[in-house]
Amino acid sequence: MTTDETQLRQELERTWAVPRGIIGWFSIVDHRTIGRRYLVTAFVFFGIAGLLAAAMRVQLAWPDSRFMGPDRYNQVFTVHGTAMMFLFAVPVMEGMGVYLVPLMIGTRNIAFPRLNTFSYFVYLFGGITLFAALATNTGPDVGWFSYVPLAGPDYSPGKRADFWAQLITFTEVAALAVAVELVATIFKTRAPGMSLNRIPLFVWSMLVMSFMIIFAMPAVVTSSSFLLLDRLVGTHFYNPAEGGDTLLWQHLFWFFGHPEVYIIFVPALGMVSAIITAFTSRPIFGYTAMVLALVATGFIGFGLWVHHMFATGLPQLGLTYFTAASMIISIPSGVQIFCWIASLWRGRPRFETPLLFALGFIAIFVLGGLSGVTLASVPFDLQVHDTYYVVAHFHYVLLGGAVFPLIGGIYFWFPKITGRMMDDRIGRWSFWTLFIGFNVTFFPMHFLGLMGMPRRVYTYPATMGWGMLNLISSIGAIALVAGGVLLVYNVVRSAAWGVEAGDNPWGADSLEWGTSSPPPVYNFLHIPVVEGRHALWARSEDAPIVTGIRSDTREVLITDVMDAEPSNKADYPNPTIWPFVTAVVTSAFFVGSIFTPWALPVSLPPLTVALVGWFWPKRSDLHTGEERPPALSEARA
Amino acid sequence: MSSRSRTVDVSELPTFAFGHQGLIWWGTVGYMVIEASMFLISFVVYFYLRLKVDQWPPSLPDPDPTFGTINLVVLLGSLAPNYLAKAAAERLDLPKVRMWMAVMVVVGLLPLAIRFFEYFALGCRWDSNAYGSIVWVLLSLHTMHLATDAADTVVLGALMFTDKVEGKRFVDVSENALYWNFIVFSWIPVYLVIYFGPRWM
Amino acid sequence: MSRCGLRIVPCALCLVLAACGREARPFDNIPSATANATTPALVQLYAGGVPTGPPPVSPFQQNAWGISEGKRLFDAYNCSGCHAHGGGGIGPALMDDAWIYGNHPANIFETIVEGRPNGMPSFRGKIPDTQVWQLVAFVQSMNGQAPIAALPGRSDHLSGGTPENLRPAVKPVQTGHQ
Repeated sequence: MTTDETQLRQELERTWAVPRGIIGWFSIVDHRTIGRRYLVTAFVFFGIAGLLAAAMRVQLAWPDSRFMGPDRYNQVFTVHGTAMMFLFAVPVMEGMGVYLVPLMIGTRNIAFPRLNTFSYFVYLFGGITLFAALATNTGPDVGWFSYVPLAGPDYSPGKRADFWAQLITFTEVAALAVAVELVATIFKTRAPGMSLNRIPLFVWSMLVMSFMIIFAMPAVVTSSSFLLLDRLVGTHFYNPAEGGDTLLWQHLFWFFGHPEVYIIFVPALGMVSAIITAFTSRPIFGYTAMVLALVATGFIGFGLWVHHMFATGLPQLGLTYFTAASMIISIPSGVQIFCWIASLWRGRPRFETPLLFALGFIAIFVLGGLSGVTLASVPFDLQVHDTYYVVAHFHYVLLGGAVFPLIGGIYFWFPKITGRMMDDRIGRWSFWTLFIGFNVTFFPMHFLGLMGMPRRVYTYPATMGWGMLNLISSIGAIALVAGGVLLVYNVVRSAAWGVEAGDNPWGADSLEWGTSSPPPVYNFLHIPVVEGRHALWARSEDAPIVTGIRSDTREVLITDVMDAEPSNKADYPNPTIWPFVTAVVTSAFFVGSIFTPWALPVSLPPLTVALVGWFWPKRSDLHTGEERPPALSEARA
Repeated sequence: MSSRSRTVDVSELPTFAFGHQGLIWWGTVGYMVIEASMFLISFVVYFYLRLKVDQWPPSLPDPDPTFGTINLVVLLGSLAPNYLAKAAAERLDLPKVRMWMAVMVVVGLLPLAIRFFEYFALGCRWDSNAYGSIVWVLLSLHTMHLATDAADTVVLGALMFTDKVEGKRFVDVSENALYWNFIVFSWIPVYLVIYFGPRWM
Repeated sequence: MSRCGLRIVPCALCLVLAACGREARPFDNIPSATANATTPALVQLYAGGVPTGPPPVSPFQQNAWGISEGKRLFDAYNCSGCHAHGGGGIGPALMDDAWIYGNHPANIFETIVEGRPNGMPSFRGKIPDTQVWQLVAFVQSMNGQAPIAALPGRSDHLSGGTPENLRPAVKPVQTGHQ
């Protein structure tokens, strides 16, 4: 490194430094830190929700078990599902995006960094609230989708359903914030030369996910807010006697709920593409088809929601449409699977742990997709609706389609995040334990469903003949827990004593592998100019770099949407405590409004103070006198 | 400076930009899309509930459109000073920005005052029946956006009178004006649905 | 009435916040003290007077589930036939502040089990004690004698007035016979 570069490095380290100390910890606005926090927090919630599932499997292992009573069981399965879907699945994907996307597109931070910090703390407080509710016997007990009238004021006394509905509010505020940040980051802050047709497939998947969040989450915000209003202040949205409708809940929820599973699934597809690219050392077969498949999945995913309502007595013509749409969505997924198989076929794959998880995903997800296509057919669904067949299906597509790629992604990107390799041997053990354990746990559930075992029952009589399959399933759950423990052990051990990874231990193609492991606080010493779709592989010897960005302030290059032509520069915020303060006030408002509508007027003054504190500039942040205004003719763009 | 021979030098680029070339626009538009989706869902709920009954509003009088129409006129009228504030910001004309932002503060608070009377003119409570509930929610969604942008305008306006004005504050004024446009234009369908939904359906 | 807590997870938080009592679902029936008696119970408690000795505790007074069950039973046992939904009719109003015999839960329990002059039937042997206590809790909730978080919200019926959780609590007054 030349003296110029050493000086540049020191300046950038100073400018982009991550603050230390207690106040500093709450003030960090750096995407890598927040991304890591999202990941760690999401996996903690995953672990707790997994233990709840283990408790369920203990309860169901034998007929007429009294390990848990019905009320406790209701809370356990509801919080398991709710935590998995809202506190783990979406936030962990967002966390991967928050960490990786700025690195993959060649910029120094995510757009709207303070909003990013705010969203993390709101998410954290939401999760703490839900588990505190569970610990005080106030855990929601109405299923993860909380149907009315069961969740309405008549049949769900107390505050349990309100905690559920408010958890939605917490997590959707966080998710929507991150979605907006990702769209802005991906569209406007890419390195020059990274036109839209050159962005990595993982970045495409994050873009599609973000758009889906933006369009889908308002529906669940609306439905859960209506539920809260019905319960707290006596509105009649779901009261048929006064003109409301219980099916309204189902429509609103599932209009969100179906895209939700694709919100979880699409980033996993991006991860699989990244992994397969790296471990075949070849470009993915059919990049354009892959992108179109992601986008098509995103669009079609909005047209399926009524397949959750086949048993409600809706008119047959409508149901027929949703059957067709639910089958059609398998086509883009199928295209992707064939492209991956083609990529593996052409290349010489190195079967290391991340690739094993990607292959495990293909196997399990295809099985889940098959059971899904059967469920798309109304006559069949009417037989197995609300039975364990459905439970088997969605665990296959969720664990297979999202968790396996996610774990593969953890093994893949762990070296980048921590600078150390995970142990490959323990990795293989964890893969096989999880793969076998998963199938032993969930495959029998298909048969249980066909034999008529309903969902959400806390026990069953011995005479039903379900005991053997349930026992097998519970034994499989032991293996799942063991696999999880192995994974955690591998993570903890490797973080402390793992072999040091270099910049690019896998020989991968995307930009994040072109900086050190872990990346420096400024991500890249020089913002690169990208010369091809696989940025590192296409990089020539004297690849151009960007100069002219200030290193004494948090200046970031803004580029055009389509071709990433340099357009202007933005000044990103320094660390600040106000996003955390705002998150605290917001969370207090959310929790308060579970109990009283007066929480709103009471919260407005502190919320105003917090937001003014956030927005009001500090004198040290001003750059008056150092600015370059846009040319007036360009100003009115 | 660097040892590379090929560089792309961006030192001459502007340090802030208006409209979609800048970053704040994307955040503002992102939130506009989210709020528009919420409005759309609420309209869908309104029509869904409408189609379930014969009489609409059920057992209640039609809402009185007087105050709503006054608000419509006020809001549409506010587009003019809003446009002028935006144009002044994009010219970096601080005195004019200050003037028009002061106007916008008044203009932002006036619809809120009128909105107070609109609630009474609805002729129903939120807990009268499902119609009452959705109508209160529709009105309140819009009120919430109105209130937050009014607060935003007050704070931003105050900031423009301090000595802490820099280039990106003009961008903030421009984006705030954009968001105000959204508030005005979103009032049109909300107004039509609330006050003419019962009359036309 | 507090039986919360997974056997695995200690319930310390539970005791700190009031949630346990509010959220418990005590499905087991309370052993009946009066169900098999065929003569009026000779107890210290009598109409209009001051109870002597410790009165029975109302087990569901703070319990949301119990109050909700009481609400369901109120219609199921046709209490609403005479009392409407608290407004009264043939029977006195239950949602106002006037209590002929006082609003102590033991008094309300006695009212239901023993009956009262001028038309209140005796339900001994017809309604199990557990359900009587649930009805007691619901009747008390009608004018706010229950924590607000435990009060029921609007019911899934034609709306018959303000839901319990939005009514202002009224101070009960013992009036005796008018």
